[in-house]
Amino acid sequence: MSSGPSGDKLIRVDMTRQSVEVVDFPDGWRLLGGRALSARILLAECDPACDPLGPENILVMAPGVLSGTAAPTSGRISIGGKSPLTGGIKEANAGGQPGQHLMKLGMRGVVVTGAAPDPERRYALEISADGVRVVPADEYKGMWNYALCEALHQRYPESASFISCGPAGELGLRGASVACTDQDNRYPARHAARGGLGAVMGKKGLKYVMIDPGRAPVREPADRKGFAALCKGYTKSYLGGRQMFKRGTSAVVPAANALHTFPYKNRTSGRSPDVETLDGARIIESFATRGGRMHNCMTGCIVKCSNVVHDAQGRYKTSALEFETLTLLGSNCAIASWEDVADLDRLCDEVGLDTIETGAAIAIYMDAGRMAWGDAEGAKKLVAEIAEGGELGRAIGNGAVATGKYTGHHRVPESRGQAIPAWDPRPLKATGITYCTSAMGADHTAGLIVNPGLPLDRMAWESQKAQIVNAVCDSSGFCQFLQPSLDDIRGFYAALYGIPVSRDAIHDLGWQCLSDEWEFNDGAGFTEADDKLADCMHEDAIGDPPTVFDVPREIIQAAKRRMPAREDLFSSKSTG
Amino acid sequence: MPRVIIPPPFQGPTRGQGELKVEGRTVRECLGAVEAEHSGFLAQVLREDGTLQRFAKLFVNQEQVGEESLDTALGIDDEVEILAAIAGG
Repeated sequence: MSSGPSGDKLIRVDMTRQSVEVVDFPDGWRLLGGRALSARILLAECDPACDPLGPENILVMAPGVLSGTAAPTSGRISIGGKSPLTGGIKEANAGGQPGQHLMKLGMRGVVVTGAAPDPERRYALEISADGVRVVPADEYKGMWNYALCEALHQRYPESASFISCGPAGELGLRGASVACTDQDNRYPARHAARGGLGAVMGKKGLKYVMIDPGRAPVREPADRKGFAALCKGYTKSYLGGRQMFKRGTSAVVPAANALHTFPYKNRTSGRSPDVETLDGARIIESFATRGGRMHNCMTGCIVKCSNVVHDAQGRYKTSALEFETLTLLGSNCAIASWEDVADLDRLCDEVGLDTIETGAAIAIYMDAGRMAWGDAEGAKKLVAEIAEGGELGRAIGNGAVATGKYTGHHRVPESRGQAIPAWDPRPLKATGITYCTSAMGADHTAGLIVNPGLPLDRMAWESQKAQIVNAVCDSSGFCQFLQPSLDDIRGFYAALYGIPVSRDAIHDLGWQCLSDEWEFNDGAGFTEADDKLADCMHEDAIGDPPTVFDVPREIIQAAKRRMPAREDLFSSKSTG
Repeated sequence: MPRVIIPPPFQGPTRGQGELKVEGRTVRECLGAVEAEHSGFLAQVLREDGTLQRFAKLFVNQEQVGEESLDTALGIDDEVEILAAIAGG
């Protein structure tokens, strides 16, 4: 038996000198990928007190451990750095092709330091089997993401994928996302959205990364038969099972509304009167007359949860119109039509913005009386205005807290400076514990628990468990929607490298990732006092019966103290 | 008595209880028995017109059934499981 993939490299890019060094990837890190790898590098090499938009910050692009192999739905990539939005460590995870392309070339990650000395200059990073280099990219300065990718398709081989920032990132706006191109037509529709990492990329002067795997093969595991059996078995079990995400996350809308976690009008209610017109079922119905379909965003994905949305004339409009976007840019702004939300989704992808943060900001702007509720055309103009860099655009583009300050409005639903996502902590209190304690801030992908009846004495464990499981999943390359368990993941790791991976080892991997992140945040000046939600989550009751987030401090803090492993830690599926 | 298995998203009315043994000769009666003890549960599973909520799936003894099976007779050892497709970003 071979030892599995070997000879992997790490790309180190110095944007101050526009120089590249390709170094050996430490063998001791072979079970580190994605989020865990990003956390390890940032803790070791990034000053947690640095200016997130300055040259001392480090931008990490790290595919998961299994990316580039034949494991199903395993090509996710983590983008990491110090967040300009939260002021702490951040990992944002995306699908699309770049993760697999990097790994097929044996590149375990890209570590970007420094910043272009002339802030007006733009550069690109080109990665292929022929080598890695930084090249000038001034002609793409300010380009919106779709036009950028169209231009790049003309320049590079058809096999190439791209990572880019839009004008929001170039302006250094704290709601800026990092875009990745997807499998079909390679649109920039997969975003590592949360935490403003697009601004980190933009302020380094890095406009895009091109990755051309050429004919690089799939990564071969040490135990080929065992790995193949795992792939086949998992795929058969998944496709023969209940396939929760077959219709996409947009189909969750009515269920979330039933649970009072479909926020309406800046979270003043958990239910929306527009649930029927924002229901993802309307999107699926549109396929019959307009075209569009469900598809997989990356090669080898068996979940196929991503939708391709067309307009009334049958033309492509946007892709991956998700539950969170329908909520924050739809219901939360009292925008009733899914078609308007599709326009907003496209605009956010073009400008390079997190739809959750942008939707939360616009809702605060509306709640402050500066724009009418439900003004979809006004919202579209606002998003386009963000790209222009004016005062109002900057406020909205800098997210919920900045918009709250700009308007002087009191109701700003956030945690650690990041807007709270659709999954509301008032009916879902254990999820609220995740928002309080995760180094990521209010991020449902850090550990979502959809159980409104969970007894108080189980909440800390459920949050900790979800945080560990999701940290390992986001390090593995698996998509959370495949819902692998820790036992599943360690089985694949063991076959990949021909080594035993015990339950203790996988538990340690997950806990170490969380610990690295908390340690970074300690260095950034965070304390336990920051493990909280905005006051409005404690004061504004929603639901039936009405409820606020009222979890006692000692329960919240218990989620950050490692508890002994229980059986369900290893069998629970990731949920994000 | 038949068992009703309730998924976490629907455990609000049952205060975290995920498995209940109830009196009921049909699926509908069993769901009604849960509702009688835990008000608010049934609306998560059935619409006002008695049809299944689109986001809820019903399984009887591991086999998926539709609303046409709500009046199917159940044995004392039978199991009714509700699945809720609720997660995502």
